[in-house]
Amino acid sequence: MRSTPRTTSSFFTLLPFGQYFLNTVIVTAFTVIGQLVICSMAAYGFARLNFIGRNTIFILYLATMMIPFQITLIPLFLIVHNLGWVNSFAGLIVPGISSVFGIFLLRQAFLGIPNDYQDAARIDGASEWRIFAQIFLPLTGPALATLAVFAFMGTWTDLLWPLLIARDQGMRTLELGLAYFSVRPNAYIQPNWPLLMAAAVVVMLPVLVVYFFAQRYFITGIALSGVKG
Amino acid sequence: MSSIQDRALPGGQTQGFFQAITTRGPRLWQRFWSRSNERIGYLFILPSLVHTIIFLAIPLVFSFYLSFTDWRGVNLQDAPFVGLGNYDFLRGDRRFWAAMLNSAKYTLMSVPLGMAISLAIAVVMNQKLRGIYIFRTLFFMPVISSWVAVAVIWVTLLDTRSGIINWLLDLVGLGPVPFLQDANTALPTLVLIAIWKGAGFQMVIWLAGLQAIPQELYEAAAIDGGVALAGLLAHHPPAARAHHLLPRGHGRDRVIPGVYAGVRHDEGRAARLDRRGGVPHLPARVPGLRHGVRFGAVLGAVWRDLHRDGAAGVVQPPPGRRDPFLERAGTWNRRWKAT
Repeated sequence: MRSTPRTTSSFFTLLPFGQYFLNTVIVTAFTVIGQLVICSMAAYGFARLNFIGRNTIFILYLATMMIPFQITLIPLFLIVHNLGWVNSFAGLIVPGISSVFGIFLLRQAFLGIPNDYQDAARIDGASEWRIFAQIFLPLTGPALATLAVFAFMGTWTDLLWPLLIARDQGMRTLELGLAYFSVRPNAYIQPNWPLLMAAAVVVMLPVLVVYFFAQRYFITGIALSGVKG
Repeated sequence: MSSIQDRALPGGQTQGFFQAITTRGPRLWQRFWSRSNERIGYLFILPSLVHTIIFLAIPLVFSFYLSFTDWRGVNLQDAPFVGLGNYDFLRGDRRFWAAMLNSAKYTLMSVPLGMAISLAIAVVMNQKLRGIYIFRTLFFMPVISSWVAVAVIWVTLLDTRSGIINWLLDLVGLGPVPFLQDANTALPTLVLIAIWKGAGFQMVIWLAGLQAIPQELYEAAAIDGGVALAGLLAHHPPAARAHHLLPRGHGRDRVIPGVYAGVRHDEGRAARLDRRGGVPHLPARVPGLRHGVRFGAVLGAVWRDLHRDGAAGVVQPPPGRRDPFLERAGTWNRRWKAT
């Protein structure tokens, strides 16, 4: 217990964890917002509008869902590199602002809402955008919360992509800082384990808090949008 | 929600190419731009489509192309086309097949066991108790912990000299077991660690399924004098099964755990084991096995979904297959009310 203050103080002075925390918050916030907006729009299109080629495009989308990230990693890095986004927030955020999984999840939730709402609103002369934003989004709150928690967890604890994109201190995220703690220059030097554990707890804490308060919606959201069959 | 638009046009099978362009072209266009085509749909999916093409489809196709070249990763002009050379190399590579075998073993061990364990946790966590949210959060903690910390903790716990697990085994006379150091025990140990870390996530999915089960089923089981365990085995799987169609671990870094937990902390040991026939080393988690099975399941569900008629969102059970338990529950309720 006596060593606790010393541990925590050196934990914040050893690496700029304040900066890491800020970076992680920025990246996570934009990714979550982007996923909510883009995925819900696409999900509405796939679930509720009839257009030619809709089912074909959706099947193709689903086919990509089964592909692990590692397969597209190298070409994706080349693309981001060519866009000049290496070591920038754009590079950290933009590849993650839409996910096929999110579209799938929200599409299932939209499918569960009776057609009558849409028909009634159309007869009243509402535009598709208004039907989407004022009827469908409020009705699928739990599913949106589920996607938000998924996106939050995935981005907050992501290691691989920030490892590639963030080059200097100013861009690193918390998970990267954690990984740097455990690096040992040679086999004889042990990392500072208590420090590493303290850092791990601090990194985990926000996700834990979000999960604790969102779990009711989270479970309802999965039940609402789960594949029933 | 029918999908007539996607079907091919009837007739015209003997037309020549020129004729097809001149007569059917405009018709095709008219049909495409017709009143029944809700063109605003394209606007709704446009952002995601652009994103998916740039950040998913192009990298995917490009990766596939690279598999036919001898690209060394310096610049793209320096990528000689070698045809099926790489695949031919893999065919004869002993390490590749060892890795495939290990992937198969890893999957066959971790998927059923993980599902069983997480179902057990979910059933316990499905009770209405004061403070149950705290317990659910506790089981969720490994899911969100960093693999760095998890690996350190498990390596410490399983250490042959100072680890607490081996100390306990020593107390009951089962000498030190080199869990992570022995080629025979390394893979099962990694499976257990991965299950421990993933069980909380699967628990949430099971919970969602369990909570979708009508309360009458539980009441009926209680009236029937069903034992809790028998009730679980009899009723939960059919009602909750569908929820396992949700992807397991869709996060970006979730594919590495097997590698990260076991190999990363000691590259030397990994290399040694690798020479002996392999632990899950980098190419070990060859995509396809686990993903292939799930792909089939999800595609099947969606196919059914796209081709059904009737109420949106709810798939009615086929008329021939009735749920005997549900019927019995109904009978019980009716009898209960009659008396």
